[in-house]
Amino acid sequence: MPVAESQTRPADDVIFEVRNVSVTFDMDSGESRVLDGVDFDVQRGETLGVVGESGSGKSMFASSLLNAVVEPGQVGGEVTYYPEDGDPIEVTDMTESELKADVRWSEMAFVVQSAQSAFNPTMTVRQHFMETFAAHDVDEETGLRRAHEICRDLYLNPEQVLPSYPHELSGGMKQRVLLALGVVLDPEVVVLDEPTAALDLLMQRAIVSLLSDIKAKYDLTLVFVTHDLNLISLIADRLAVMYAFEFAEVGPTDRILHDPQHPYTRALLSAVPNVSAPLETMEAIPGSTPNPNDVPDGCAYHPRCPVADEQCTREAPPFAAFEERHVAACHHPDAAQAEIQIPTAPDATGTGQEGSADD
Amino acid sequence: MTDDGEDEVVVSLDDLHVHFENSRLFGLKGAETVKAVDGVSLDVHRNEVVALVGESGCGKTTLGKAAIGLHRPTEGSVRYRGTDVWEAKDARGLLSRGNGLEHDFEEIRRALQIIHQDPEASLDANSTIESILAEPLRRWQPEMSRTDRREHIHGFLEYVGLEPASAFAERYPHQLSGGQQQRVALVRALLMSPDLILADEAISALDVSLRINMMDLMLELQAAVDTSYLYITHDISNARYVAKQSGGRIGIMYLGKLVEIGPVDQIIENPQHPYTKALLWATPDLASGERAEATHGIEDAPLRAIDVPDASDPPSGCPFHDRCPEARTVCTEEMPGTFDQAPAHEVRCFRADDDHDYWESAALTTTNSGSTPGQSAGD
Repeated sequence: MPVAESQTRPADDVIFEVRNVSVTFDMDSGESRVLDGVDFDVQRGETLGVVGESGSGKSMFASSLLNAVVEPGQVGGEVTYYPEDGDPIEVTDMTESELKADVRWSEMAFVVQSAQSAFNPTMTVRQHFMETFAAHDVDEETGLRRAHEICRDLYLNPEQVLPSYPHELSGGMKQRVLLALGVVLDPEVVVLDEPTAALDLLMQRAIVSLLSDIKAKYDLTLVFVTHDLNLISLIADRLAVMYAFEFAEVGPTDRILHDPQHPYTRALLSAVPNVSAPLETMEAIPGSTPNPNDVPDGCAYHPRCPVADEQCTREAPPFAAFEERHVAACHHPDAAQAEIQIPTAPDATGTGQEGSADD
Repeated sequence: MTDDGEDEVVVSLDDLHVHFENSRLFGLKGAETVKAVDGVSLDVHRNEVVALVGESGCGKTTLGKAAIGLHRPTEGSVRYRGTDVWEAKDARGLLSRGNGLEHDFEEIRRALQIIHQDPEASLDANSTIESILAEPLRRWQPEMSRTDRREHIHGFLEYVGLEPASAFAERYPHQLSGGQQQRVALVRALLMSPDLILADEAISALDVSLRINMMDLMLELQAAVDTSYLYITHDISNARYVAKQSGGRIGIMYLGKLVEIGPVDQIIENPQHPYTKALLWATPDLASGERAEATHGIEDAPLRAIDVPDASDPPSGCPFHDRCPEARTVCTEEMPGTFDQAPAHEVRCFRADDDHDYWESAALTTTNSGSTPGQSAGD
């Protein structure tokens, strides 16, 4: 992969460097921009949770990391991948066949919802593994030994699962098989796009727990894209909140949960019911998320924001930096803090501004 | 509950069973029976919210549909204000001669309504919102004048925030957002002045930021029109949200059985059934700072197996025993009866009975296949 000579590694241990990346679709109604010039650094070894509602651009961000945006989507900007050893790779410059041969699965794996995946219904799980080994010149015996081990790591019985056809497995098993296929070639990074969305609660939590285990065991970097803030917060080191095709706020998980700066993040925390927060602290967000043909000027969130002023209707806010590498794209974080309360359980340690809500 | 309607039972399920013949592989393997609902008794009171929580395949939707007369019970009964729904249905046409039933089937149909998960599919794509909403009124209140009907519909549309009502009334379902469609579906159900609305995953297709709005609206309208909800959800946080405000109950279903039911705070803060505890484990609680507590690895799971057994071949005894960290030999042999835990709090687990043979029974140590987390000794 051609890499400019001048390119040097970033000071941090960055695994993905995303610069001004956009994804556009040409529609009859004009160009539809579903990811809008984002910059982002993914750190090696972290679990990054990318959170957003449907149509926020989060899946496009995930696909663009692997240059896997589906046709006819167009990716602009640069994604640079820094392997642990070896030269940086410009993912966005690679052709599909180069990607398949050199980086997909062996360096970076993409795990999608099993319901949407390209399982071949006529092939057993074992054949899916064999195909992966053949495509990457992996010795079958070594590969299968590893497949067995990873299946067991994911609480799949290899004797039962490998001879099965996809339709013979439950949704939760299929999703774990996809994960096993993703990890079997020992990639450095696994990008997961809503891998739990279609599953039952216990299976969602189980998969998140299993991911946390295999991340530690195989020394992975995880990028986990989801609408489920509660679930991903359990294992994410950092959260990146997306709104209207851009990042609204990025920071360490505890900062995002307990000291969020962006009005949207604060509102989102209040809009997701949980089992302990007082009911009256929960509140929907008025209005709706913009569609890509009609993103408001200035700050895209301003029509729904209680602290927006005239400036917000004109100027897109730059990222303001807070402690611990926490950034938020907002002109008025102080006003947001004062105006928008976030839910806290009555017995939780922390700010605890609420009284008892029990009736 | 301090509600006046506390004692007034709207719908009563008595030892309800709904079984389906599942012809696998186009009948080549012979039919299997799935006991989607397997012996559930439940009374829904006037103005009450009962949230039924469970995973897919647990029978909660089948139970809900049986409760509003959409599935005929294989055994047991469904009564609307004392009248057996299916006796009433079978007696249709005998009305003029009198059938001895207090409520006829047409009345029961009006009284028991449903809101589906997918609002667009439930609204006629070729009709305007106004004609979709006029249809039930024409049918159930034929004496209402055209002008009154329109006023009534527009009033409801405004109430649920679809303003200006005259503009929304002229639109077609596809011109509305998912949240707006769901409000139309809610209005359509409410126009019948129902006694019970089955809300089947009514908010799960909506954007996260809009879900609370829809739940709030349902609760507001409940108070306004005097109805009950049977609220089906896989999400225990949403169940808490919608049931707690109305002093309602949460019921937990597992493989056709109602394994625990009680007031919201009892279920959330004092869960007794190991399956309820597992559901709460699967529902991370950010506000309480749970994140800081454990490693979050699978070893922490309060489960012996993470995969759900085949619903057509459920485990013997208590159907949860193969995943239950507390299971003992007796659990493989016998389905627990119902034990009272606290007022209105019932649980179907031997552990609720201090004197049960369970406590002398041998613990299960064998685990099944590969889908087994480590023995969670910590529980």
